[in-house]
Amino acid sequence: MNFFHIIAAWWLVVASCAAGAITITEGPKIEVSGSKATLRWTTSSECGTRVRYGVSADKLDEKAGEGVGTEHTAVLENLGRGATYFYSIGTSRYELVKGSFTADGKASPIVSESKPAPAVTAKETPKAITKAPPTRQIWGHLASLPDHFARHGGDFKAASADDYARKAWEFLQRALNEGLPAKVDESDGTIRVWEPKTHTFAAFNRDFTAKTFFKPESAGYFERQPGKPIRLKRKE
Amino acid sequence: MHTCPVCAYPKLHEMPHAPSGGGSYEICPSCGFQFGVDDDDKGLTYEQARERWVQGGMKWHSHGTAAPKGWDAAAQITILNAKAAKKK
Repeated sequence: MNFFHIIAAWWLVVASCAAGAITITEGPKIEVSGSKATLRWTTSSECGTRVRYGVSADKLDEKAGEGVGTEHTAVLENLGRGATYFYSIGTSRYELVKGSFTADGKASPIVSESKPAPAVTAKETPKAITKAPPTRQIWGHLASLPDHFARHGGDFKAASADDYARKAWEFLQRALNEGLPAKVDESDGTIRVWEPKTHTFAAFNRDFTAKTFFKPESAGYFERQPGKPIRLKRKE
Repeated sequence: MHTCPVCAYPKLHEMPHAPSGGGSYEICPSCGFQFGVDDDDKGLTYEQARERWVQGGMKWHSHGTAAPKGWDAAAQITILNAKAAKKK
């Protein structure tokens, strides 16, 4: 399976997470009762509910939680008595906080406020950004790349044409991870992506190879671009 | 292949604008006009861009695409002017 097969599997549907950075605003509160633990937390914006857990911190191979919202509850069942469980809370894509608890098997519930690690915003989630594929796989019309770099590379302090293409690819990853505003032009398949915070625009071909990447000068540039508004999202 | 409406270079990779009106974002290798950017963002008309290119000496723009053998910028402009005259 090559890069295009993988990327073709990502698509353009309603996002499970609102755009922007997501943080945990309260919790997680953990209630352990018998072989069951209930984790509750709230997030700064609507997103999916997912707990990954396991008896080893580096092997969180069990999953719990479903639904989308700002108030989240996940029930972990069939826990081993006396075992310490490690967990990671977030969405199916983002890890927001890690922690651990012990399933002590007592009948009466123990409610604890987990001491969360510093909140990790979705934007900063390192797992979301992996190494960019070779430039020839991420830039659409390769012969045009030196000209796009010469014109727009300075917008992103790109050191070379390859670096500029890589930054465009990373922008696409962020768009997919964070659900940045986007439009699809059904007349030619162009996908236009916008980040209002940094005033950054990129256009991609239907296979997600880049067409251009720059910071427009004029106000309302993205709003003027044609296309049907979509929310980019990786396939779950 | 498509023709640049600014300088009449005949080998653009894409149509300058999609049927929706959206720019192709292609940078013409001949005159350097970027469709969807020079017009939609900078507000340049084709005529203004052409005038600027002509005044700048009609130099080949691209760093990544070599000028075709025997490329003749003046001939491109002559063709463009002839087409414009025919329309009138």
